[in-house]
Amino acid sequence: MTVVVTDNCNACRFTECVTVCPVSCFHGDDSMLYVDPDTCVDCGACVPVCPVQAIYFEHDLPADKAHWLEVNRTRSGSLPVVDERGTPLPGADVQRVALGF
Amino acid sequence: MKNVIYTSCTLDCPDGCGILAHVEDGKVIKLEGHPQHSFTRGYLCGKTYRFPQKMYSDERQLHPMRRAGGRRDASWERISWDEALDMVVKRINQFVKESGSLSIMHYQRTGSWGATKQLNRRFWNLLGGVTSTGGSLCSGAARAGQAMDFGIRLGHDPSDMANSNMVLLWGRNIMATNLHMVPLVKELRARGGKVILIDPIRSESSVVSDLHIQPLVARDAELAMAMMKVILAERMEDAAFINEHCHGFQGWKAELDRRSLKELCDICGLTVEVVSALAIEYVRARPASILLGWGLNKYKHSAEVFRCVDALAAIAGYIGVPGGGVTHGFAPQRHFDKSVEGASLASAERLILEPVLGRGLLEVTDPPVRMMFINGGNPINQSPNSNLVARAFERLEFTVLVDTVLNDTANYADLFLPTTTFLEEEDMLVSWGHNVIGGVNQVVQPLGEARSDLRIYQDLAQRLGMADGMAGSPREWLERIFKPLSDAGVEVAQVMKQPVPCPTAPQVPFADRMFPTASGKFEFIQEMNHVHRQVDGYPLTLVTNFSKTWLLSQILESEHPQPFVRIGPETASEYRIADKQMIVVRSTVGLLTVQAQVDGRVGRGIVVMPVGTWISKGGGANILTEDIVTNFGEMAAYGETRVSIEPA
Repeated sequence: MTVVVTDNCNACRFTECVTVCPVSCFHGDDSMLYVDPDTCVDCGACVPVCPVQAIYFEHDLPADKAHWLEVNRTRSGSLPVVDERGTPLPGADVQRVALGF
Repeated sequence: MKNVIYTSCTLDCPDGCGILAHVEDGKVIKLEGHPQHSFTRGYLCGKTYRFPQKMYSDERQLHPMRRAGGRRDASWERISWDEALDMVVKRINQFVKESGSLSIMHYQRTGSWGATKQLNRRFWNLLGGVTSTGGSLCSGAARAGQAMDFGIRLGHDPSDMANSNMVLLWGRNIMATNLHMVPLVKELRARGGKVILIDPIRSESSVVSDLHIQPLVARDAELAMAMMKVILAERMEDAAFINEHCHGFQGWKAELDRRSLKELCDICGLTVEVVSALAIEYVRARPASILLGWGLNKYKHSAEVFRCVDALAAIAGYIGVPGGGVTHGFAPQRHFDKSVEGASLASAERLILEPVLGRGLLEVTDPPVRMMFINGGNPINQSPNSNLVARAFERLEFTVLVDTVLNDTANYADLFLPTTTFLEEEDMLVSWGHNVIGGVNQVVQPLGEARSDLRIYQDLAQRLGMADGMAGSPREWLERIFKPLSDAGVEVAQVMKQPVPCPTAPQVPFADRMFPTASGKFEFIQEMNHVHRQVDGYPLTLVTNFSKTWLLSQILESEHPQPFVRIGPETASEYRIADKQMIVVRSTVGLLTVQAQVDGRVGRGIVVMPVGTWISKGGGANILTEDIVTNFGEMAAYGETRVSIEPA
């Protein structure tokens, strides 16, 4: 009952997701963003806007990314809310291309 | 210049959200969920958040168009509204004169649940009456079944979930198609209650469930029967309710006694242990509620399936009880003065049942249907047996499509009339999923040359000398349509300002134990002896479900997914199909070549294809579906379709 930010966000941190989140449930550190699973309402607005498709519905998390569920819960608990678009990290576009997007 | 305007989403969904639309310089820049709407709770779904993109997309058609040279295989060319309306009027006059008004068919579907769409039918009744649709594509059997038991299909208000200790999500994927029910279910869990998902697929809703029961597809009646046998064997039934407020229990008990518990469980593909535990938990919850979805409503015997689940709740003593009940939906046109449709104005009437649209069109004579006018629907894509419907449409002489984009049906149209979205219209919404009345305020001016359905019909009526019959502003018509509601103390002006909870809607239906049946009591079904349909050569059942990420066939072409089906690992292994492999899916009426996704959440014996992918993009689940009608409710039994699969 949440969405989960996974590895493609790391070193990109595009922050497109936060611009569409109705409940401001994204939290961030310097490398990437995390979703607070208790605040997320599963609307799914963020999923298609991530340039590197880093966000999954919990239900669709591939087995090799299952650990991100707990990472999102733990990290979002101790980081500030990010609810405004920021500058992606340097190299984000290079990374995006390298990931195939 | 910025503005925030209240409106409501009229798209085909039980959530019927209240919306605050943010407008800047005449353009919608974002949509927000209405914070004071008790069901919307301040947020929308991903689909509606992206609605402005659809509205302003390059794919949106903003001008009337006709086929160049009048040939249906020719490209579209832009014409003026005057030319377009004159064309329609000329054809109407021609067909009425030559063959009578029944040679014209009006096809009206539920692309919008706005109240003023009722008036579309009024135009054709003023004309004298035309061929129109009867039956149902989607709720007919459920309505028929619940009407036989209770006298009417009427659900518990969503807020009543606060009184439940348990909920069975039975063939209902709230995470995908009833999103705003999710927090209510989460709250139930937070107070220690239990959520049980009953579905042949481990759907997205499993993440909010405590337990997933996975019966074989279409065996829900047998599951309910098995549960009833357990409850009766344990003497845990509500004898007082059965004796005082029910009719026909003995007949039903005799039917239950004819089958053993083991036999019924074997039919479901579940163990006696699992079913017994489920039944006992359910009856002990005191109370438990059941939310029924469309998963159960795709079969020839769906009305009977609903009746079995209703009977289960009756035996458990959960009818008319806060936190109990069997909820599917609410009549979408309750509170309306239906006389505005003008049925009494027509002197002729003929119906073609929606589930057999293709067959019906090909078979009717005296007169045949020669002209088709389509509002709020995509019949080529959404009707069962798309190929047959297409064949029927090829024989029509003049087809008009009123829509916002060139969808699959446009390929069979001669004239395209651009219409407005709900953000460009004034209307009112009575939701089929809750009891909050919604105002639809015009957020922005119609884009391009788009005209609302009402405006188009008023323009046509004028040219046909029927202007008075259709005259009136949207607000004037809403006042007329909602007279029953204003009689109950809710004014249209109020509704247009903010979400208004309906003052006459019961939170718990039948709490007074008065049932509008002939007996005045709850009616038990008397027999259920269904055999799962088998078709030689087509061993798998096609399940057409609804996606979380798009609504019906409302997909931007630029965002259209690669058409796919999902099969379980056992099925994949049996047919030697690997994940992502291209396969041919075949039924007796069509075939598709699509990608197979092997998905551990999909149960045995089924091929799952989401509704709404476009035929023109290699999809279209209804290319495969057979046009079979339910026993009750005259509804499309899409799920009776049987398919075979093989590597492409």
